[in-house]
Amino acid sequence: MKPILTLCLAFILLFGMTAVLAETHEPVTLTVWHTSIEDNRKAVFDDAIARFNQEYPYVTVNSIAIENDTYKTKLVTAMGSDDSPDLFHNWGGGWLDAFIQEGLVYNITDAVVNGGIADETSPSVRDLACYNGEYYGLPYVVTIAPIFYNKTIFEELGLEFPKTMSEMEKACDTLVANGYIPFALGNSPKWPGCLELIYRSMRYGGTELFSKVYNHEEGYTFENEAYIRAGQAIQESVKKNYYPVGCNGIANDAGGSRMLLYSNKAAMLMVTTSALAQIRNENPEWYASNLAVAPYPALDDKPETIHEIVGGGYVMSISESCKNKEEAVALLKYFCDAQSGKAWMDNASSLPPQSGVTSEDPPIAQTLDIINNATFSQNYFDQALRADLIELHKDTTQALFGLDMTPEEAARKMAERDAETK
Amino acid sequence: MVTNSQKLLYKKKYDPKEQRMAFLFVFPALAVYGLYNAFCVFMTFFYSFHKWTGISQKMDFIGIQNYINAFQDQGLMLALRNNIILVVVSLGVQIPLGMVLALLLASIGRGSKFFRTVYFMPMLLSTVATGLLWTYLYDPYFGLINAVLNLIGLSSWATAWLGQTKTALGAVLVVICWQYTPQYMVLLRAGMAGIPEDIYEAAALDGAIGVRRFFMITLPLLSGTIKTCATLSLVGSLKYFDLIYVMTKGGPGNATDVMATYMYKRGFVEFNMGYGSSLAIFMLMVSLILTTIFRTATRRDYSGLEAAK
Repeated sequence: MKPILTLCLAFILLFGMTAVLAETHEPVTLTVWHTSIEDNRKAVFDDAIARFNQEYPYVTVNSIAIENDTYKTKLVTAMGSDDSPDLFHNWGGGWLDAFIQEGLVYNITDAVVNGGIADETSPSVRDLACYNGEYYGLPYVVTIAPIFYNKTIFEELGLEFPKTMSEMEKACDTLVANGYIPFALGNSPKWPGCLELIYRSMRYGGTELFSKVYNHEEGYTFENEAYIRAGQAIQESVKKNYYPVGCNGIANDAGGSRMLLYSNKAAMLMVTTSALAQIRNENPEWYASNLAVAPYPALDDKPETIHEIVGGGYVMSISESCKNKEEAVALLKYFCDAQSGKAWMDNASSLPPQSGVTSEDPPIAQTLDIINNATFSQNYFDQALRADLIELHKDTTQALFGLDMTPEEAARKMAERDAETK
Repeated sequence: MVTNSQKLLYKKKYDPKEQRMAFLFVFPALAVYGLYNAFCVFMTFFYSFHKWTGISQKMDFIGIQNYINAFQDQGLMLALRNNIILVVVSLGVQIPLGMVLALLLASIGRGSKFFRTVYFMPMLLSTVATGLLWTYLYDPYFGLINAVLNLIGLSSWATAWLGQTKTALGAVLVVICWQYTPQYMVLLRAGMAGIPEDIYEAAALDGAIGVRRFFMITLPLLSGTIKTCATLSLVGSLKYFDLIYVMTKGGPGNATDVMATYMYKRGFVEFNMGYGSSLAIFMLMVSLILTTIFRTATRRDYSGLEAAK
């Protein structure tokens, strides 16, 4: 009896060991760079990594959060050297394209088409990092630029929130007449004002306009009439006091623009949906009692254009120099799945890239509504443009708001630089 | 004729053993400096002759094309102009103001430590904090500056300080002066402390007191310190970056761009590292030339004063 037991034990031990041996992998390390420095946002990454580690226990993931302002500089330097991270946060568009052109980004088309890693991602945002049908990254958060407004002011003045652009003009005139600033614009960082230019040029020139200009199609340049008209409309709005005086010197991230809302001086604010989290953190009472979200108004004769929105997102990509691509792709899937998406929404008031998501929170629900009804989404120009045009676009648009440059001159500068460097 | 003791001194001064020792001590610093400064400057110089994105393996040699483009670049010229304004304001405001504060501190006697600490505080704040603080102060709707102007009946002066091309540069310059004046105050105060008391006593006997004392004794004997301050201020103003980046990002439009912010935009943001490098070399050249001119122009005065000492 005893020898048999020993033998059995020995057998079990041996079997067990081979099983373990078969399961053992060389330890692998993956480095992830992102910009989620706040605890609640960083936790979403940590949670996804923990879930990933249950499936891949032999992988150590270094999640490194870098402050947004320095992130781009650091990544450019790192990608040019041998120290590039395995996975890195980006915004798709022309900026990522610059890295793709240099062969620095891993093509994940196969994993998207056959591997099913994007099955939970909504088709309307899946293509944020798709170039000529090839995928170089997946979105993990969606941001759009709707109009945030103080519904109490609108109710007091008996105003419906405008659905068309001429209704918007009337509403703005009413607001000005009643002593309100229609739009709380903090244009010191330059991008908030750009949103107005993007919406107007898209409404005037159609949804195809930007990609035609971007791809240098015959007869399409930044001197297109739509851009000039958008610039003219902006300057008229400035002259009619639709924006705060000196908006170009008012901070946005530091809160200058939102303080105009909280103090009842201004009625509306057009920025990206990152404002949802900012407002909820800064002033939860105001968030609960006054905040409402609406889409940018449509052209008067084309009501369906209300569903053409400006938006982008946070994309995660894998670098070509990553040595463990299989594990990196698996990790990417966890970052972009529905569970991470829900965590983004619940913990960080950020919008998930999955379709059919709902929320109990009215401003978030209104925003999700806009996303779910969207027929077209134009990426922000400062992400979508080729890198060498980004700063010029921001500088010239800011100059439009300051009445320091004519729309024709701004358009000409863009077209000239574009022709110079294409 | 060379005396023995002089010989000994001569010999001792160039003792090879000691020289080797000295080199040994200097070497670590020299190695770090050589690798991280001199070598990098050399590499920047090398990149500046290329068309290079900064992330690419591909680097095309294009000769001096980057420099030709730089000289035709309106943005750069505007930035250079702003830099020169910054230099003038720094030299004309920071150092004189530092001098006034230093003199005040010297005359206070008791309690001067307290004021020295208070006045030095702007220097201790991080630039980002300073930038944010002043952005709030300048806010057209909620800022303290406009609030005070409204309070004292100067509402017509209240404006969007950082938001207008006309006022933005001035508004940023005020903050830069606010931040850097204390540095010169401390340097000049230290210089004043180094002037022997007996000179003042002798001067007092000759009837030099008050303003005369300052112009006849303090100022001439401080000229070395002033020159150091001026050189620091000159170079610092030419390569200035941080507060402008934090407060205006060079805006509105390009109104507050200086060479460093402009270089950052063109080089890093726009993936144009070759051109960015040529702008960096341009900055280096401007700094070198202006510093050399400044040092040559002030040399004669200085040596004369040294002799007087």
